[in-house]
Amino acid sequence: MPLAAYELLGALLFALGAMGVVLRANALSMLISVELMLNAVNLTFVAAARQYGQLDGQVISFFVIAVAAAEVGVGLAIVIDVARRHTTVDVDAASELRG
Amino acid sequence: MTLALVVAAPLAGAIFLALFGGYLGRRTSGTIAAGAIVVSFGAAAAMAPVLLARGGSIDAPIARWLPIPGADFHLVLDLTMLAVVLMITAVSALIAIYSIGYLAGDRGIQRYFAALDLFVAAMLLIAVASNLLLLFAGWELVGLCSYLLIGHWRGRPAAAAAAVKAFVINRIGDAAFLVGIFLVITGQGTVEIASIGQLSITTSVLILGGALAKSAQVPLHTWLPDAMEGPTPVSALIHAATMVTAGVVLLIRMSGPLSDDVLLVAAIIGAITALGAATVATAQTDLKRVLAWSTISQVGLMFTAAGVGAIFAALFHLVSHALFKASLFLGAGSVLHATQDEIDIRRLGGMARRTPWTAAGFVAGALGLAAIPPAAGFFSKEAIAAAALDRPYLLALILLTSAVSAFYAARLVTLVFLTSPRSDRASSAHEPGAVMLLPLVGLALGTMTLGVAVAAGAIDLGVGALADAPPWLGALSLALAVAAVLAGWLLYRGGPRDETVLALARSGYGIDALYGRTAVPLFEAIARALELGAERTNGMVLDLVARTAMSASSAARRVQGGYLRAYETLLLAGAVALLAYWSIR
Repeated sequence: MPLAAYELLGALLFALGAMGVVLRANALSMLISVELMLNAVNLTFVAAARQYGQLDGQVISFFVIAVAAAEVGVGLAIVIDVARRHTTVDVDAASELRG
Repeated sequence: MTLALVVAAPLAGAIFLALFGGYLGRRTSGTIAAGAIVVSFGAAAAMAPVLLARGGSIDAPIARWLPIPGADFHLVLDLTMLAVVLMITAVSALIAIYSIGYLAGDRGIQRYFAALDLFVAAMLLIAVASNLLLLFAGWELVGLCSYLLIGHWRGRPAAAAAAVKAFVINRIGDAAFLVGIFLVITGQGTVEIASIGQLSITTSVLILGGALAKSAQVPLHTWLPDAMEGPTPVSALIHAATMVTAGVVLLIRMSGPLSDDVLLVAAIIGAITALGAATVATAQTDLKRVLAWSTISQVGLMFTAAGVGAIFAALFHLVSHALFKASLFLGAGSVLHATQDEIDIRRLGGMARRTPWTAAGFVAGALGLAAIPPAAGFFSKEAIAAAALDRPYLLALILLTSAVSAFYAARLVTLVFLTSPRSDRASSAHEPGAVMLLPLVGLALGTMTLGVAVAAGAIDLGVGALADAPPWLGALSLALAVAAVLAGWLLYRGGPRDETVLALARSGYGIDALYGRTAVPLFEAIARALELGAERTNGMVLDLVARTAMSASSAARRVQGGYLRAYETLLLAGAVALLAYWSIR
């Protein structure tokens, strides 16, 4: 399979994730969409590493996985707090900081 | 570099006291201030034998300053100015010592001594600067220090007003002087006093304007009587050593380049000022104001002498006036000190019995003022009269001034020291301590001996000796003086008199009130208009800034809608835009 196929799949997944982040109002769905975006990037890194025979891409994808775990940890904590305050996980409910 | 030390010692004293005076005791700071001036005196005295032996002048180039020919940090001292420098340092040192006693209880005494040392340094700079710009620096410093010292008691509104008045009126003269210096630069191409050639009438008039304001001559004299609001030693300093004589020093140093016509104008202004101020002094009831008007009058005589080219007479009178006027002021200070500031001569009286040493010092000064031998004033006034022999109108004014001066000197002594005490304060007065009496006695001795020494040729002032005056002149001026003193004594031995006829003279012929009704309101109106204009402009600018900021922020707050997804969309759009920009580039 050529590299371009992996990159096309990565871009597609990234766009789907981005749309999910922007369009979904449910905080959990948004977190899942962010994971999708991160893993789309991971896919392109790993594919490129394989193609060019270098390990850099794989190393970076490990970093991304570690960061994603931390991100989910922080994100879920925020979601729980939002749920406690507003009895819902709809992010549009948490709009006290509007100017 | 002895010459540099002359100016540097008091300057260093001023800087040291300004920085560390607060950590020192009152007596210590006074001792340092007086010591710095004594060092300066010693340095000047050390140069005297050299100058007397070979004449010429001592040069001390210190550093380059401005890219104008002559405008360097460069000091020069000749015999003429040596006399002035010795006089300034000697009199100022005595006044500084006197101040230790006079201001013993004053809280701002370190500030006072710092300003006093700076004052002396500035005045010395005027005497020894080699060029007009450096001289002008000293000139401005003198103005600043007079402001600081006249307003020393800053809690008093009258003192603050007097300080501002002295400063503002001096600024008028300073502005003229500065423009005159600019004209010297463009016309002569140099500011070095020794190499300035003949000056035009305009330039001379402008420089004379500076001298008139600093020396309190008509029409810029109104600041000096008000300057009595400062502590009495400050008055002594301003009148005797450091300030009003600056104009005379300038005329003496510039007598070569200044136009002869303008110098004659200076002589006439001086003579008119002398007589006018002397008549005003006869009507004053405030002890210090009598002395203030007498200074204006005596400096007028110096202007007359310098104006007719009699440098020796001007210099001689400058030195002898410094001695007798300092005696008078320190004597007046002792009287005030002894009577808890009873300044009205109608309420004093009989002080000779209560304070004999003060009375002796004051009377020595008064003899100088009245020009009665052996006081120095007799010889120096005769020198001035002799110089004006070929201009009868000036001679008449000078002789009249001398007579009037003798009259009010006698009036002052009679009312303050003779007669009987007319208030409780006067009858319970006590002689001040030695730290105040010794400087007074020193000055009184100087007054009594210097004149004889100069007249006999024992002391050389460096610009010739006493001209051979016809004997009738000395006899006439002595007869006038004695007659006036007798008249003053006879009129006032019974105590104060009704002086309502002299109301016009008491007000200084209404000149100050005239300024108060014309020039002062005019400038106040201009200042108010400027203030109002500034307020309007400020308001407009501030309004514009505020309105711009408000409309910008209300546009920006629409972005902050509070919806997370809107922010995300913007974030994404931003990222896409950046990517697009980079890929296109």
